[in-house]
Amino acid sequence: MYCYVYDDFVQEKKYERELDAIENRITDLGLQGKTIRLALFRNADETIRDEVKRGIKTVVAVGNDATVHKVLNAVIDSGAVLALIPVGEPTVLAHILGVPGGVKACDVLSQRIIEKMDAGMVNHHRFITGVSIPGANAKVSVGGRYDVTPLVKGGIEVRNLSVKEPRDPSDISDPTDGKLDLVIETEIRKGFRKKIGVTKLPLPSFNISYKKNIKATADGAEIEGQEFSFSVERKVLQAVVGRERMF
Amino acid sequence: MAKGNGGDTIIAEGVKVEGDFTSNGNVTIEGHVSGNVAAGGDIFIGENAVIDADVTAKNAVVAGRVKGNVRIDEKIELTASSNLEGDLETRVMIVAPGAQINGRIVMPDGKKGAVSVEEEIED
Repeated sequence: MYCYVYDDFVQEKKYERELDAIENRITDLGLQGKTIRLALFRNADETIRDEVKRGIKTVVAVGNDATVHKVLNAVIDSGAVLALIPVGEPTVLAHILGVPGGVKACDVLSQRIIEKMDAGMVNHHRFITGVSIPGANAKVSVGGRYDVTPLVKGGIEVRNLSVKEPRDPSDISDPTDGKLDLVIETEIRKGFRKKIGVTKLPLPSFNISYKKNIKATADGAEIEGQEFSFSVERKVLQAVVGRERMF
Repeated sequence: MAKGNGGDTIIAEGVKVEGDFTSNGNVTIEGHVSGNVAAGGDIFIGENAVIDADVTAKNAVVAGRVKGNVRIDEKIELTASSNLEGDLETRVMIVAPGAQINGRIVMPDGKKGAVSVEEEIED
């Protein structure tokens, strides 16, 4: 019923004791399953899809946010449930979903509270947390109806949940509303004082264009381009969440 | 359980919006907007905001500059720093001393019908 996908970095010696404890707890809770170990040039997509065809219901990503990104397409496309056992850093997604780090995550897995969530799309790449992208020279076009342009220095984030570690629940976008939050931070100087203006637009789809190629980061993975087209896939991801989830 | 801060739209200082801007929820504008603005909820136009657009909303608080016609379903509050250049249609209006209005004011439910104000309102 469970398929555990170990990221390549968790196989390092420093995580050995933590993994032993996790595996023991999984056995205690009767949650054993198949294990897939990721390696540098091994794509887990096909293996995960095959396992789901054979009856696996839950894919457990053992690792950090980047691990989730590696399994995301296969999990969504195959209709499996995603669960996390956070090991290493960063684990922003696990924190938002209310999944504690290491061995404690096994108890959340056994409680099996499942929430349906939206997934964001940027140029056909899926993302769950968000995308960060430079603000300078950016032009946001919303359905050809209106344009949004930052006039001063700043950065842009497109949030399905939150790009950075959230300080409080207001930093998190609702991943069940069918919208992405376009957040533009602008630096306003008044005399010697500096203030950050935060623009926020909840939108189902929009484009961001630049005059030259730039790099965006989606769930920690880099995407390069001049045009970035954003949209939402409504409630396509089923994820195991903890009682302490932040949305 | 804590929820995110909902579907409100904020246009901060340092950002410009051009075109037909629409939102189903509440809108706060501190930046520049030109074109049209339509909010299904309430609209707050901050002191540093510059709006060169027709505005429609359910309720409004205006503290900045608006050049365009404003149509509010229920209530508008014009603060001391507000400057409205255009016609205003609303049912209820609160005007602070110092607010500037240059345009026609129409209050559909008002017994006296349209009221025209073409001078600065002062203490």
